[in-house]
Amino acid sequence: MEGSISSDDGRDDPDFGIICFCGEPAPLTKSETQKNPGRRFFGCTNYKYEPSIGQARSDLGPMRVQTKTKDLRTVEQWQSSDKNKKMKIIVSDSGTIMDRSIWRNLPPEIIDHVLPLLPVKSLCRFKCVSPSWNSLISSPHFAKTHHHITNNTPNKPQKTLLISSSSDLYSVDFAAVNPTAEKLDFALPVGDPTKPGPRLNRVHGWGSCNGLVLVSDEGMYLVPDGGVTYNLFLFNPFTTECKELPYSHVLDQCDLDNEGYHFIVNGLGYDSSTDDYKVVMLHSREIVDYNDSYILTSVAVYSLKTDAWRRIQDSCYKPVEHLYGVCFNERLHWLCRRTNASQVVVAFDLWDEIFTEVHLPTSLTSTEYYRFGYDLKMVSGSCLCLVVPPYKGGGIDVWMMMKYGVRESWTKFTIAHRMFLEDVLYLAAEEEFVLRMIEEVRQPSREKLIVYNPKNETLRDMVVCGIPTEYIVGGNYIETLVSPNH
Amino acid sequence: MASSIENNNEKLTLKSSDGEEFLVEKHVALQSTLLQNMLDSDCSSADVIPLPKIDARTLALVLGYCKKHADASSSKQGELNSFDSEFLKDMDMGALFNLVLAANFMEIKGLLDIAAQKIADTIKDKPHQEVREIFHVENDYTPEEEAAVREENRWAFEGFP
Repeated sequence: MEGSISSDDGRDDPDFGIICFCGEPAPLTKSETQKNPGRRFFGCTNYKYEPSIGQARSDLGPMRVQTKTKDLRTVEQWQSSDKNKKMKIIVSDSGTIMDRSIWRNLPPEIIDHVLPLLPVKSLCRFKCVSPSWNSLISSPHFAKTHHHITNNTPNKPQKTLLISSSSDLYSVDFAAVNPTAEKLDFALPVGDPTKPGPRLNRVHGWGSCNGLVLVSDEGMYLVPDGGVTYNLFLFNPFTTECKELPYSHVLDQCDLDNEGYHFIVNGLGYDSSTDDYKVVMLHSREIVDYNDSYILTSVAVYSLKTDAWRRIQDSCYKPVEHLYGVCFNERLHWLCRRTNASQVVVAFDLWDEIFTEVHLPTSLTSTEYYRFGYDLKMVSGSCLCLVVPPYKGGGIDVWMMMKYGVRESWTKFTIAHRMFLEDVLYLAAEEEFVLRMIEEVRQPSREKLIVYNPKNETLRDMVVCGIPTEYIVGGNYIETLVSPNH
Repeated sequence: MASSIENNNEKLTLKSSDGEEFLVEKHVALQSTLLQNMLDSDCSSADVIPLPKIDARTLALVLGYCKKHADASSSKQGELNSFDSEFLKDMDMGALFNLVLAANFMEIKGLLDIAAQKIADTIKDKPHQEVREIFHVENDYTPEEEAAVREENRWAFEGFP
């Protein structure tokens, strides 16, 4: 049993390969004929293609099976004859298999095809079935297969991680009929009193990718005395596996006399070219040099595979807000400011590790608001989106880049809503936005969530049961087995 | 040499592991990538195609599925979906296992997907002890080891014995 589970797909097991009609194993072979070049087929050693045209195959004999035809039944006849019989072949009433000999060597196909379809919770429970199931379910390869299948499921369950002001973690499924904020039975190991340096004990969310969430225990400015403490954690809210990232030496650059200008943002993404998760840290500061001042941003990339940071070339972009890099198309996106003060959206390519600027809609970049505003929100779903708060009494503009990298593909929807836009929480697969709004007219100001559907331009209030009064968004995540400890 | 398969009304004979023979129309057989490849590479010159891993009962089910999917036009996706769920409705685990094996062997992706999903849906809320029984897995854990794994995954065991 164990052997069959741990083997990749059972191809090494002669019992489960394709058998030719002649009884010989028929491995997968590639056709070299002119008619079907490259076509893959199964063929045994007796099957040899004769390249000379017109010549009969001399060795086709074993492929033929001559059986005298008798009592042939069609499918319909079979079905009708079996229609009234209850199918009970080898299974008892309790559903367990009676004839153990048949299934003693349960073919790996069953395991291979069934286990990746199970939810994470079931899989974590089934680690207790046997040590071999445990090692299979815990393997990075299985996690990848499982994630791939989950990711390609329509209406995959996506949740949003909220972090309360007391650093409690909540999970919300905004797509549910009655969304409820469920408190996670898990505390991040932040504020460890045994470690030197001050701690704010305030968790800040830095986005998510494939079910992993990146958080730090200090989201804001660095504390100027007692050394730099800045701890990043990568964790999977479903399996509660958590890893503290090593110290990044890009933080050594902190000029503590000048702490007010320091700015650190992070982002998390997946690089399929190396099958690796990467954390990107931008450490920005404004250097004042006589009468001139310029932006210098140190960039470090952490690779989960090597568990180490790498410093890469500095950049001249400074993020304008403490917002996480929005991941889309294997690029992390931040709203940044250049030295000349103009705003841009930059994309950090996780493959090449270089920054490029994203072409924004011309009608947006020409507005003064865009040049100086700080409240642009970015969100990623099936496309990269920008949410622009009301400008000069207008509504909230939602821009969606339908085709990545194509300026002309930006499409705008306007939400006629006269409230202050605080945050964009969620973008569902059906392109529904969950927006966090603040009603300014009331005193004290009141917060509410609204759902906007750009397709049919509908707007509705959303009530989330048990949502904390103060919270920040940790990121959207899907149910995966992807572990930060791989 | 394979002139007969040019004819669309051509029928094939498939033989199950227990010796039953089934006459199927070619377009039904083409639901199986394995059979399709055989036909393409002129293997069909055999009078009877033996399927030594598939018993008659399973093969009848498989061919019933193939026939429905081959005959239905692509516009009737809804009808096919309800056929699929009805098809597997009261099937027990042994029959489902056989179907997964047959669909995997004959490379019928749609059938493989729905049968595997049906098994997954059946076991997902079962306690691990029962899954161990269904899959006939020897429990190689010592009680201490099993308790340790369980403790690591405590959150997943809420409401389970």
